[in-house]
Amino acid sequence: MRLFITLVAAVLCILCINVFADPVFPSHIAGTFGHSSREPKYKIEFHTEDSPYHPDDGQESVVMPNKDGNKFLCFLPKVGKAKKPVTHQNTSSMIVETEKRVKLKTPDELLEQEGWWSYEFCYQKQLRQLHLEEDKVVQEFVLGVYDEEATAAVNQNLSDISTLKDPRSKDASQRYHAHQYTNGTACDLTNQPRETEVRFVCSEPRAMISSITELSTCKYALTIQCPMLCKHPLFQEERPVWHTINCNILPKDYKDTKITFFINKDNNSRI
Amino acid sequence: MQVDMAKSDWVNDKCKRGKNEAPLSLSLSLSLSLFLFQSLEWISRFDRLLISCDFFSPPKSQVFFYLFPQQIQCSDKSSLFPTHTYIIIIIMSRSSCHLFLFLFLLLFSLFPFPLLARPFVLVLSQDDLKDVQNDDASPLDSDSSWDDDDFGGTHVKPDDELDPGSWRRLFEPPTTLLSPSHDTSLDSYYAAVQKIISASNNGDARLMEEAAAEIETAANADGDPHARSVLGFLYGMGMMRERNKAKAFLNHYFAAEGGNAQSKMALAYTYSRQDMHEKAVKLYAELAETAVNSFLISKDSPVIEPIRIHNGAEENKEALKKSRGEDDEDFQILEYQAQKGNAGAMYKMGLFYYFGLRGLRRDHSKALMWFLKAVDKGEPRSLELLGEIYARGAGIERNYTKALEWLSLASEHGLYSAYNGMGYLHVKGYGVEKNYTKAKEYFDKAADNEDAGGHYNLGVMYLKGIGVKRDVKIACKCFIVAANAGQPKAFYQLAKMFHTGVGLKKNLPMATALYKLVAERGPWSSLSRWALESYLKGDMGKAFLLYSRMAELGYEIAQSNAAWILDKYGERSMCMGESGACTDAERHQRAHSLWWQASEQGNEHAALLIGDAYYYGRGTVRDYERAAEAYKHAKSQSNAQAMFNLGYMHEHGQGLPFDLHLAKRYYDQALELDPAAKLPVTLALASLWVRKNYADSFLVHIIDSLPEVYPRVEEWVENVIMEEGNATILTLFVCLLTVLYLRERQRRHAIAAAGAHEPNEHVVPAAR
Repeated sequence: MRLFITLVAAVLCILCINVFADPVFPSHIAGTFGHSSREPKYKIEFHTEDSPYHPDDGQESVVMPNKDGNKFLCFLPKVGKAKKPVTHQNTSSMIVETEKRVKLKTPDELLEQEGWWSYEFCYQKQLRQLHLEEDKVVQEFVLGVYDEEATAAVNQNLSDISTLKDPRSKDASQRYHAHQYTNGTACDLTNQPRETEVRFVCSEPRAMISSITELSTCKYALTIQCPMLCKHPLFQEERPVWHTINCNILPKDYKDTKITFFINKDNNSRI
Repeated sequence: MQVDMAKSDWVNDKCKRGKNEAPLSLSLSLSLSLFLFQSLEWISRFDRLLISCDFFSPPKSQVFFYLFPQQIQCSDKSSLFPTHTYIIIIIMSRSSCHLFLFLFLLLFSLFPFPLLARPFVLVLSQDDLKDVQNDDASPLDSDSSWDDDDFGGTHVKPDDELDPGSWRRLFEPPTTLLSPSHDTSLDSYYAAVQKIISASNNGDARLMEEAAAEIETAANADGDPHARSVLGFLYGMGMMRERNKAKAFLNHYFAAEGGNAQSKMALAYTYSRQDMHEKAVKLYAELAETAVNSFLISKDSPVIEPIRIHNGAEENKEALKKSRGEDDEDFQILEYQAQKGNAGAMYKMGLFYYFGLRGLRRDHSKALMWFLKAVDKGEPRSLELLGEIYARGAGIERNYTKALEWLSLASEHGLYSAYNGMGYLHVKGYGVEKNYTKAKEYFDKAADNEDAGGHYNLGVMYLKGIGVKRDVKIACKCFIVAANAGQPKAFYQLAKMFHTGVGLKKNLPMATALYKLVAERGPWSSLSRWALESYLKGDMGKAFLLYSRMAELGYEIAQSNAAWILDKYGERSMCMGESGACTDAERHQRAHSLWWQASEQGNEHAALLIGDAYYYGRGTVRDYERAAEAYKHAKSQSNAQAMFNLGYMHEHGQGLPFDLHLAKRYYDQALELDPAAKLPVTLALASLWVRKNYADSFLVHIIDSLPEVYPRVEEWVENVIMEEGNATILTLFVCLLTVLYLRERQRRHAIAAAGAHEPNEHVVPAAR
């Protein structure tokens, strides 16, 4: 029976559209960048005199002169609030919604190579560990077949979103939504079928398998970056925030001292 | 994926891969000493299991600079040789663990492992090598950015001009008194920076506050870009101002617009961290060009990398020793030899002064003096440098005719890199008539003799079609060869190719990374020299400030150094927080963020140290799970120690599920990656075996109690056995025993031999 399921799943997988993620860039250099994706990012935008930027209440501003003697009034972004605690009011609907988002934009099949092994992930079907030689499968292990019941059970226990501790700082964590894949190829060491937890995290810019780790013998965790998930309200805060500094050019004859004074006063009165 | 030079059929035969390998004997001794060092590190890291002693940290640091394979060798070579001194130190040190170490070392040296430094070569995928049509109507010709100056080194401006607002005059006061500048804003800027520096030296919060206020006024009232750059630094670090990334960004943006090169570096680094490659590449290209123009014409300048002051968790004593400048004993010996008329020493003196090596200040006139003296003594290597000096007009009036004379002389003495200078003069028509054919001949000669500069120059000729038919493919090939030999100029050209998509497939992240490498060698890298000088003088505060500034500019080594100073020296680092001296929390937060940045840039040790901080609860709450995550990060960067730690955590179920199979796998992986891990891994595997087969038995409890027992044993050994007198007696006793044993063995041997010769007499000695 198990064989049958595996076969069916395999056939299904072959039927999947072959959307391969780009291969990981082989060089070390490219890999050294882009790890900071979850820190806030900054950019600066300049506005013309005709269509100046209109600041919100209480936005801090600074006057910046540039080398040509022009002056700019730059509005700093408001400091981001701390992560709000997630409320699980409507968990079941949330789950459904999360699933939809995951489903929507994850390519049905992902293939990622890590050293000797390649990993093939078919959404809600199965996960395989392959060794390819000239595009032929030489060796293969099924790391798990999608298990709807187990997934539902785990998600019920933990609510729909779990968190992973992030060593970046002592209170950082990363949220993920998990699917359980069970009943894979039997493991020599434990005589149990292999199983895997597939974790979907919000990460841009493209869908890809970001890591595979062995939690304990023959129990794996596969992390999949899923840009679509970032649209979900629960995951939105996971996305790196873009802070924009808006600068309005000031007419040459403006006296900067007055402006700062005026604005400070303005702010104070509003506060 | 990797391009195999030999297999590519279209390789121009001039661009054969340079021979990087050292001669066999050398590489053998290298690998042996490297091995010894690594085993030492393993043993010292082994404290996690048994012994708590931190002592060794081998010079393994340079590997992060993977794009300069040859220089890795060069810079590591010198630090690897004095293995013996280390062994002696072990014996001399009065601490128990070093005795253990020595025994382990002996044990270890019995296993001959093949060990090679990890190779790091620029890897280009086949996709990157775009098929380029070699038609002459390529857009490249109209692109003015590929100007004739790619041969480098023509317009040599003083560093101050390339790096305006540099703190140079505060650290290297000009010998000739500057005419008091008519620029009052500049004066007040320097006065304020001086205050910042001295405040950070004494930890004077009040002075710092004053300086910060002055900087702010200068930036806002006078619009001084340099003051603005410093203001950005204060906001970025959270020094005397509330840490505010947005304000830091804004200030650096305007300072960069105003022409401050350091802010450009900082901004470019921020852009690249934010994956804004379009903007990053533009800034880095500009900075890299500035850097390239300050490079030499013929020879590649020796490695003047910023020094990593630590190795893992320990001070990098070897590297530091070599950076003490005129205070270094070796240097004084050299100077003495040179004064006594040793030509080789004279040449070295000249070299040190010319490039500012070994922590010396650059001094062109001293360099010239020593080179001239060396030439008088018939030292040929100085000829080339003299040619270089005359061609550049470094510390002397430029004279191309003389330069050519010196260079020709040098080339006659078999110094092939001199051909580059000669070719350069012919390309430019300096001192001779322009002659591309001749120039190419010279470059060919240099390239034929495995000179990276030759390959580079040929590349430029092919790229532009100077004297040859334009061929971007060959040019690219030549640049790759030169780059793999560590020519920074070649990195610049490759970066340009990735940037423009000419010759290589457009790849902005790659271009950014390569430009960054080159840009970091620009004049602003002097910060590192001053930081190191301050460090060696014991001015931790100053060193920390300077490394922090460099860290902001994106130097990985500076990030690590600053973080390490914070970790190691704590309050003595004179770290300045938002209001006065840093609180513990601020210090930890800053070190943590610096380590992360270093880790992002590929420092595998950084993630390991972050993991250690969580594991031991240093500066933060103990958190095994976060430690495990950090170790996993380090593991993904191929750090063997992190693998070992993960194995240990699996074995003990700390932060990770208790899982002996996985523990074993991690231990095995650690060994596979780093053969020097043999001993700790063997012991760990033995403990695993016991744990598996005799679960919950007496032995397991013993093993588990070891980490607690060992410090006590060590203390006892340290206090009782290693007491001055006792140690001596003990050593003598051990020697005595050894001698007795050896004599006994010798005697038996003699008897056996005697017995073999005269079998009948063997009863006699027995009876005696």
